[in-house]
Amino acid sequence: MNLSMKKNEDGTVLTVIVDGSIDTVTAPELENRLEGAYAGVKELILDFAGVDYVSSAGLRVIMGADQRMSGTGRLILKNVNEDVREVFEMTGFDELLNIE
Amino acid sequence: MKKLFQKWLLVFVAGAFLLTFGVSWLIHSSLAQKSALELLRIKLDDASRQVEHTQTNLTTVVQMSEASALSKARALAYMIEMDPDVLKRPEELDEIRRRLDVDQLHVSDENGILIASIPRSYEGYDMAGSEQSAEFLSALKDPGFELVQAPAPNGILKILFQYAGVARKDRPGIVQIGYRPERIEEAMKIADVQYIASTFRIGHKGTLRITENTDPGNRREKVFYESVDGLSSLCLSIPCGKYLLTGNLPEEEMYVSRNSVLQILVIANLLLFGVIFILVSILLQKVVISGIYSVNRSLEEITNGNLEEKIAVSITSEFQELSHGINSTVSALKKSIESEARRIDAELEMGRTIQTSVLPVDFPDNAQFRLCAGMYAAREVGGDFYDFFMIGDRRLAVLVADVSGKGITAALYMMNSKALLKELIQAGISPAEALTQANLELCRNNKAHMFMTAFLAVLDLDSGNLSCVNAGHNPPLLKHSGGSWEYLRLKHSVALGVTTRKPYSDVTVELRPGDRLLLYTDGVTEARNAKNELFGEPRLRETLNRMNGTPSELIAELKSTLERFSSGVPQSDDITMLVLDYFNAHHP
Repeated sequence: MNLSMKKNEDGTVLTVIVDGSIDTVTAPELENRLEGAYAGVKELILDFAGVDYVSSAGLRVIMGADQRMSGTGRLILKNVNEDVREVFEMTGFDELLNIE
Repeated sequence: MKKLFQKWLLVFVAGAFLLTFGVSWLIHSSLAQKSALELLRIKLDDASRQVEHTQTNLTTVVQMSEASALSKARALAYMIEMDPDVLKRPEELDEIRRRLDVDQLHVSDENGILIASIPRSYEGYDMAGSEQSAEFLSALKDPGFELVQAPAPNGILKILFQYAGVARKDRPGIVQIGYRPERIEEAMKIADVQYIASTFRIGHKGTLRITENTDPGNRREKVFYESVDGLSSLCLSIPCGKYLLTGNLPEEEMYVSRNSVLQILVIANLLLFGVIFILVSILLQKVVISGIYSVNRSLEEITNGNLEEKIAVSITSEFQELSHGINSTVSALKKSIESEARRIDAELEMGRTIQTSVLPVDFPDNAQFRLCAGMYAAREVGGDFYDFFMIGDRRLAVLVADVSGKGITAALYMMNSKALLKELIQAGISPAEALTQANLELCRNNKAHMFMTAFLAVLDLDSGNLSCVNAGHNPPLLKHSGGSWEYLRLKHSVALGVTTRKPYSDVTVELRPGDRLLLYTDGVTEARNAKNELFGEPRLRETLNRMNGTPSELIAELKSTLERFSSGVPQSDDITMLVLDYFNAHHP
């Protein structure tokens, strides 16, 4: 898994571009990287164009991020591919998350 | 470190070399200057003696020459007094001139007119005619007159000539002889200071200059440097009577011995310091550098994870101490890592024990249904579980669930969920209500964001009605008697522990005798092969369609298929399967 992060000028929109699989091994890294970047962010965009697989550990991190953002802003998932969308649908998370 | 050490060694050696060179240069320069001055002094002493000697010599020669000239003039005057007629006999006069060993004879009358001369061409010449000859006119009045003139250039050839004269004794007049003062000439030449200077040598290229002493009061010697013939030279001047003698010695000659000494010194020093440099470098390499490299190699080995590596550098006691220190640190580190690993292993092991210990293994096999299940835990991730139990006599509950998370926490969460659901279902409420209740419980204080996907179903053994809820779980597969395996894609509900806002609702599926149901977790569909491909839902369905046998055979075969598919890729998630065969809607 590779991560690249960028913030907009006033630091309220954080876009995280994720590549690869978010599984048991890589999910903690995503969690740690996000943990350090929440400050001042109103909109967290996870760009999943390069994500081919999300395991239950990955789902846990995404749900955690969603709950974290729910108070002060929102989490948006972008470019989610079909396989990953199926995982969200299967677990019912598609109803809870903003998937664009 | 070696480079640094060599750099400083080089600086030190170069410094020592420069110091030695500088000191030698100073000492030898001063020595060379001293000996050059000594040489100059001796030579100038010689020169001044020579000058004084020739001057004295010259004076003597001049005095002797003058005395002899006067004697000759007197003799001639006497001969004329004895025989005045001799003046009328030129041949005799010439004979007299030859005997007297002079060049000219002149005799004048009382008026100073030459009446007899050898050579005869002078006869008739008036002695008052030139300043030089006029000096002798006094002899006309003074019978005791005698005069020797200083040598002076004469005639067209400007040959040095000297005249001596006395008064005539027979009557007033002048008797004069003229001659070339060869002895004086010789003595003057020898006594000529420029001649002395030009023939004088000091050392090899040093010269002597003799000049007028412009300051006769100064009797002190003087040392100075001056360029002579384009060569910078050391000069020493000492006064000598009316002369000032200045000797010089070119610096290059003065420093010849110093330079050759320094040349030898430089070569010897370069050799010596070169040897020192190389020896110290070798020693350093042997004693320190190789030790450090050896320690570094071992440390690298240790850093790469080989904690068995021991450092044994015993070149010096310091290295022994260092080796010992590192070895004990590494061994302490090893112990602590091992104990940590044991702790983690223990925790995972405990989690797994909890997980497996709560799974029922008494699989029923009766006329109405038979059931088999298996849970194969992965090393890292725990959290899968299954359950089945009767609700009264007529109803069977089956459950497959997957808790996200691992270790003891996930295991306890799982245990808690399992107990909670069993209690709720056995209380007689529907699966949807049971999940709703359980979800409320699981959502409370869920700081770890753990969640659980589950497929919960209650089968009425009489009617074959299967009430089920899929809470974010993989879709089960159903095979109707005589048909093929198909996914049972029910309306999905959200996994448990995530939100309390989404309700769960029951879906009823009708089973007929001979139908077979497979519940599983994502460890099956998400098993990966070496190409990183997922086993996937289509492959699972195709595989099942090729299989027959009892539930336990089906599970064993499916597991071995998954193992073949993964072929060496470690299992990353728990694999759980539950197969239910429904035989009869009616109680026998």
